[in-house]
Amino acid sequence: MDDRFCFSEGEQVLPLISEEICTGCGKCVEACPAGAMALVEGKAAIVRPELCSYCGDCEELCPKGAIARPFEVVLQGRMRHD
Amino acid sequence: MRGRQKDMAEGLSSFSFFQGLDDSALVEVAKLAQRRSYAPGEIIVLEGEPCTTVHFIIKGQAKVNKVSLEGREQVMIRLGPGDAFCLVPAFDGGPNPATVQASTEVVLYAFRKEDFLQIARRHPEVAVAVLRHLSAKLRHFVGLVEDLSLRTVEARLAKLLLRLATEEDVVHRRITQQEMAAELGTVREVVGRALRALEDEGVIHFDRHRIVIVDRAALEAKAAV
Repeated sequence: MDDRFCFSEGEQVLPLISEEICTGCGKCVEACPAGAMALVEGKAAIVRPELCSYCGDCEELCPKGAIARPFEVVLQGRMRHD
Repeated sequence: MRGRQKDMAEGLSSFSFFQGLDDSALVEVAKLAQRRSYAPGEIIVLEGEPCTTVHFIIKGQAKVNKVSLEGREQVMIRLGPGDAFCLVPAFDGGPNPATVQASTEVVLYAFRKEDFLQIARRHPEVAVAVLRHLSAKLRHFVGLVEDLSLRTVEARLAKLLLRLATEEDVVHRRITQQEMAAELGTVREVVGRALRALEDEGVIHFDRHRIVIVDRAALEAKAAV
C-alpha cells in the first residue's frame, strides 16, 4: 500500500509502479542498471528490492509515466521520523 | 438528545464556522449534517457537476485540482481538518469549479446545499465565518496566481521544497516529481531538470528517497526571486 503520509523508521522506500498505467512494455526492466526489475504477469515490478538504488532510470524511461519515486524533503541534519 | 446527534453537535462545535452557535442551535444544525467517509484516491466532488452539498473536513487530507484535456493536473489547494469546500458553488449557484479528491482517508460532515444556506441566513455568525474562510482562500489564490504568473519554475520549486521541509503543522508526506509538477504548474521533466540543477549547484543533495536541503540560505534566495 502506498502510505506516503506515515513514515516508519527503517522502511525501504521504493519507486511506485501504477498497474493501471503500466502496459508491460519492459523498457524499465531493460533500463534498470541494478537488475532489480522484471515483468510479473505482464506488469513491471521491483522483484529484487534490495538491489534498487533509487536512481530513477525507470521513471525517466517509462513512456507512460507509470513509475514515480516518492521523496521526503528535509533540512540537512533533520530527518522526519527522528 | 440522542447520543449520535449529541456527538455530531460536539463535533460541529469544533469548527470555526459553528463556534458562535449556542447549544440549542448546534443541535438543530447537527440534525441536518451527515457524516461521510472516503477512501484515499476517492473523488468526493467532480468539476462541472451541479453542487448539491457543502462539506466540512473532520479528518484527513484532500486536494482540489483541475485537469486539462491532455491530462495535465494543477493542484489548486490542499485541504485538511477544519476546512470546508463547495462553499463557492453553494453561494453563487454555479457548478463545482474544481474536483476534490481524498489524498488520505477523509471523514467529513456534509450538509445539503439548501440546508447550509438556510443555516447561514438564520445565523449571521455562520455567514461571517464563511466570509472569513473564503477570504483566507482568496488570499491563497492571490499568492498562487502570483507564483504561477510572476515566478519562474525554479523559484516556485525552491519555495515548495522549503515549505515541505519546514512546515510543522501539516501532515508530512512523500511527494513524487509528478506531484511537484502538479503543484507548480509544470511537467515532471521540467521538475526533474530543475532538481538536478539545484543538486549541481550544491543547494540540495539526493540521498536515495530524501531530498536534503544543504544550503537553505541559497534556496531561500532562489524562492524570493
